[in-house]
Amino acid sequence: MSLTAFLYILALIMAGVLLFGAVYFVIMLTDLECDYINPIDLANNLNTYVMPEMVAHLFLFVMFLLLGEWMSMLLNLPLVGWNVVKVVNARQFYDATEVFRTLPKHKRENFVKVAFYLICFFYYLYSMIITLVNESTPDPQQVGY
Amino acid sequence: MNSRPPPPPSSPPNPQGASARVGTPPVGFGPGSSPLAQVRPQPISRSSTPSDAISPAASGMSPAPGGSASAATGAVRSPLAGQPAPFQQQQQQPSMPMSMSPQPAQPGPRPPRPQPPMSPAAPRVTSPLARTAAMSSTHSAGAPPMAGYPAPPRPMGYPAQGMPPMQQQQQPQPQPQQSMPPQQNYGQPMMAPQGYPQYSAGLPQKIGSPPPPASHASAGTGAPMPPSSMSSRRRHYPDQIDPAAYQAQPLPPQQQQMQQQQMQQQQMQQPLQYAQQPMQQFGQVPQQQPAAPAAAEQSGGGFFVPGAVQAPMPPTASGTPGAMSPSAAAAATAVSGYPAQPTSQAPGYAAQQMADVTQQFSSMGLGTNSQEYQVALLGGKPQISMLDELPPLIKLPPNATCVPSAYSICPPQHKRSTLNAVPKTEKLLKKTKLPFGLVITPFKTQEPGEEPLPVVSEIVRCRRCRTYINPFVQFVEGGRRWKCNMCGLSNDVPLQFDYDAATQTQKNRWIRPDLNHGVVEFIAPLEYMVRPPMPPVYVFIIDVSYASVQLGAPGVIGKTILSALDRIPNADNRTKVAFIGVDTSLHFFQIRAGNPEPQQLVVSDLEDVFVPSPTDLLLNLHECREGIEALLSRMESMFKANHAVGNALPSAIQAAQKLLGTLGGKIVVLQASLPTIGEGKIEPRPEGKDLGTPRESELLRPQNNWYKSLAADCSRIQIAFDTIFIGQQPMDVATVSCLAHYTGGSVFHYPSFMATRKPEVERFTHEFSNHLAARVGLEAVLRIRASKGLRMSSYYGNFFLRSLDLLALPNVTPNHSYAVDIEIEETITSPMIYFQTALLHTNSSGERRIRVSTLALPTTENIHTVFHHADQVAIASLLSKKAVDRAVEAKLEDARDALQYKTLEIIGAFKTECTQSSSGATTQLQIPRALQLLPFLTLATLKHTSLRAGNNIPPALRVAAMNLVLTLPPEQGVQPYTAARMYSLHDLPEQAGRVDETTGIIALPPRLGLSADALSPYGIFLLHNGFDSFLWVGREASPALCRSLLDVQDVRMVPSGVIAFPDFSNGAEAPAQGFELNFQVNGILRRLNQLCHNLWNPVTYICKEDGDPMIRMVMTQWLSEDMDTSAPSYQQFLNQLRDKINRGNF
Repeated sequence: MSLTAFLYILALIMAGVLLFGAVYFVIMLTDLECDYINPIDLANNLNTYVMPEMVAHLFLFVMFLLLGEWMSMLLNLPLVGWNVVKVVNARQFYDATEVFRTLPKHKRENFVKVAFYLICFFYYLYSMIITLVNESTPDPQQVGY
Repeated sequence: MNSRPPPPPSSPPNPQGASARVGTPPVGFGPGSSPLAQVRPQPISRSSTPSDAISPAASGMSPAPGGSASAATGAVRSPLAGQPAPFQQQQQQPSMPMSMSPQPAQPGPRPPRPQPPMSPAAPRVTSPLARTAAMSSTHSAGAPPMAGYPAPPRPMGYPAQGMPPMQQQQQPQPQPQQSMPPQQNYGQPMMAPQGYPQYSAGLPQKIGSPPPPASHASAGTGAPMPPSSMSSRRRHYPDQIDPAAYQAQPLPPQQQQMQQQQMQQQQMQQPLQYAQQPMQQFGQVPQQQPAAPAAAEQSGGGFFVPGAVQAPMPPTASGTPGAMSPSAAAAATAVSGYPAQPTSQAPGYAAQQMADVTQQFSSMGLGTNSQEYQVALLGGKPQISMLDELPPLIKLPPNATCVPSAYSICPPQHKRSTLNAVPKTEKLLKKTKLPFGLVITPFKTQEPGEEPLPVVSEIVRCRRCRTYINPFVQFVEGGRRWKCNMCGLSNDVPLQFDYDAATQTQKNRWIRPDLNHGVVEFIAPLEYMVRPPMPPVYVFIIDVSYASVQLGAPGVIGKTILSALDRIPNADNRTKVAFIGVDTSLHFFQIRAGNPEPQQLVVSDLEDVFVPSPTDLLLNLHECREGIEALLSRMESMFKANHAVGNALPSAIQAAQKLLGTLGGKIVVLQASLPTIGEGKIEPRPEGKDLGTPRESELLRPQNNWYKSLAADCSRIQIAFDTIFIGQQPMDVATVSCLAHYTGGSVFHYPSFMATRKPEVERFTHEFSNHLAARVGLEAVLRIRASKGLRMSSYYGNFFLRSLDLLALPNVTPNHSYAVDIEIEETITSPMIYFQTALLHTNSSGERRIRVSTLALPTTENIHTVFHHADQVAIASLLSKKAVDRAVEAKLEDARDALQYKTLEIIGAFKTECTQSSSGATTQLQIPRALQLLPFLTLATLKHTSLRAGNNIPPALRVAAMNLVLTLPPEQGVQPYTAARMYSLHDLPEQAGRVDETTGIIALPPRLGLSADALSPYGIFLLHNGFDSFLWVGREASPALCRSLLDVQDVRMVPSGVIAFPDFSNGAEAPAQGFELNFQVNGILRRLNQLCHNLWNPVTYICKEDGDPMIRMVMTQWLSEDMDTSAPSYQQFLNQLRDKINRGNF
């Protein structure tokens, strides 16, 4: 099994985890809206996962870049850019005092992320299958000789 | 010794540990001290004698004004039976039917002020409607007419039978409303939609008519009240309301039904649905009449609107030719074909009041509503006297309340809506462009003379939406169930409503305060506590570093706290205090009970802060009084020689947090230098080059999030902060004030403080000790509920938002207001909407209370009604709060633009929707009377320190001003803090500055417009913005004037600069010989401070016409009508608005 196939298997798993994470964020934000959780707890809770999520995503992106998976890399580029902008402006963390003001924005962002990771998940799945199939199918040119 | 491991941060050190540490060799903050934690007992030097201590009496403190507030609930009040007779007699005039109205026009739970002038026809009969409040008046309506007063006092009372006499004279040919010809030129639609009538007839004539003759004024005051009956009006109510007072008031259900039937019948007869105020029903139903006096008495005799302010100047009818040009009025007349009024009606607010009365009589087809007309802005001066008026009437439909009570409408000081008639749909609201929101002041200080809130011990709430029972619920199924006015759910009426189990007697539910009053206080049972109510706890973190010592701050702070010790709320001797000095190390002060000798414990380990002693640092104010006094009196000498540069505020806050532990309390941070040490240290930010540029907003934002997140954490454990900044050292107010911003605290800023400057010290001492003496509301939460279809979207103020409708306030500061934006999510179908705020708090005596106020507002589908019932003061307050918020979030420039654009939009929307010239250019700017001052207030807000353009406002000053704008209630925030008050002192009327005998309030002279045109070289003028006062001395002011005012020979001897205004009569009742003017001005200043709840103690800047240009500049920036570098003049601004509207680019 080639490195590329291995990477896609890893990416598939990670996309699943990230998807789960984004859904968790959405659930927490909805809880906040319904007053099941107070903003301080929410901020403390979510802020622990913000950086790991970004790092995981960046790792995938770098791996795609190194292995020359240009399509996958381009797919991930916007989110990486967005994350970098947030980190540079120090806006990545949830602020308990401001969270209600930005709640609609946060929710929208996380919904987009859920959709994005879902697309990624299926794209990685497709890519993985293609890669594996390509690997297992002998090169027709070679077969000829 | 260096190897001693630091104690675990989380666990408090045990006593052995503490004593071990105490035993370490003394290493203090002096040179060569070890960086590690050392604690040493330091007997405090006795270099200063106890005589240094300022006794409360010696320090010139006035006896606690806050005392009255804190004693509010416990005060013993005389029962009604003890009332002097004249008052009752007066109330028992049969002509008081209005007070039976379930929805009085302008009710309010305050007892009326003594009665000012009456209509000559009814010398002693007061119509509740005509009653107005005098508490925050600039003028006392009770003042007899005097020379130099352009404004005739309002007629205050009418006989209730029939028309007011004045009205009768002036409207000889009353026209029924429906017979009116089209008046399209007023923009009033012809069909009167359901709910509101259209009023407009005859009004423009009033506008255009000449000012009333002087005799009018004297007629209004022709029959003053006898003093005896005046005094009887200032009365108190018992906590548990005397049932006797209510005997006649509650209506048995049958009677109510009968009434309703009668009302319905009348409604059918009436052309105008809206006008059938129940009052006239009562007036016309003979059997109801006996009920009236009692109700009137219960209501304090009338429809007194608290906080109501008299409008001394007629807003439109006199004074301003430009308000509506005569030609316009004539044109209006021509088009409408409506005959001009022979004479002007009572001008101004009197007219408004009269109109309200008139409206009550509109079933007779007589009335018009003078409130609802347009005025033209261009060419006129802003009618700033309108700021003293009441907000537009909240006109509720009949039977809005379950019990007819004058108290059922929430007074505007508690809760004020920007729209007093709410559009039913979001579309309509969008069309008007008006902002919809509330400004809530939940913990308002009780005014002197104001009766305390009624207290209820049983809490009844809706099962579903948890709304507290309020006057607007309906009783259904024969009174067995009540229908919640918020969600419509039917709830069972509890048994104790009708039956007292303790005494086994029947009770009358209709006298319950929670069914009669818009604002009540419930005593919260155990379910509302998560722990036993906490005592008031104060931790003072005092900067004792070199910067602070240079200013002399520690000494002044010590003396101030010392003098305020008796005034700190301490009802049951549970109050605790602690003191922490901060420089490069932390100084704790340990006082053992019974041992008056305080010990200083110095902690220099700032990395891993710990509390050096588990006990005796948080001191019981009562038990350790002697030691605390000794400590405070030695504050100055103790740190006199301190040369430590640097400040470890973050560590001190962490230590204070540990000290308070789970108890909670208030941390008062007195800061004179930048926090440079510790986790949350702040880098100095270069300010100079960014001022006036878009980057300026960066300086208004906190530098790091440490203080913000700390504040959020503290708010959870019920710790609040007050931040007080002293001196001019860079302190990064923007960052440190986050502590107060997110915990519901206050921000004070004394840039020119110095122990040697007496006026500044006096100001600090007064304000700080007043602040310490203020009433406390601990562990508070504020919840805002609204009717279905409404959503609270964003909040403005100092608080921590814990959920979408819950504001966490570890310590609710009196007179802080909280603004909220409201969105209409669904179309409203009901004729009324409700807002209920509940403030759960612990008062100083450790009692859990819930202060509930319910505001009902009528809804409408008519855009005119919305415009004419908008409350411009509330709008200005809300818009300025939003602008400040925006300035911090985005840019100052954005905030200014947004504010201007909003004004433009509103005027434009009015033009498009409500005037004839809906499209195309106009030469005039038409605006509803109710919004007349909006452009002026916008302009004043643009020129205010908080938003002013320019590069000469230091960020510290701006942040402090912004915080004030954000927290001040509309009654103080708009006027005087945004639009200052100005008076001329050289031609003061005789009564001004003296206690008015009829009202008991110090009378104020007529106000001047805020323009340099008003200043004349031979005069002396007083400008007061609440925070500062300016004395403008003209170049040619007469020597006699100078002598009488300031005791100087002539104008050249008048000092320039800051003074504490001298009082030559030493607080006596009568002026000292030759200093009458001084006495009067002192009276005026006292009254003005009182109007700001004594929050501030302004210093007086003497600004000579040919004096210090700096002071002149500072003063002229308060002349909001004039052009300056930051904004155009009022006329220019109006022209700009008109041009933009004509171009249609809004």
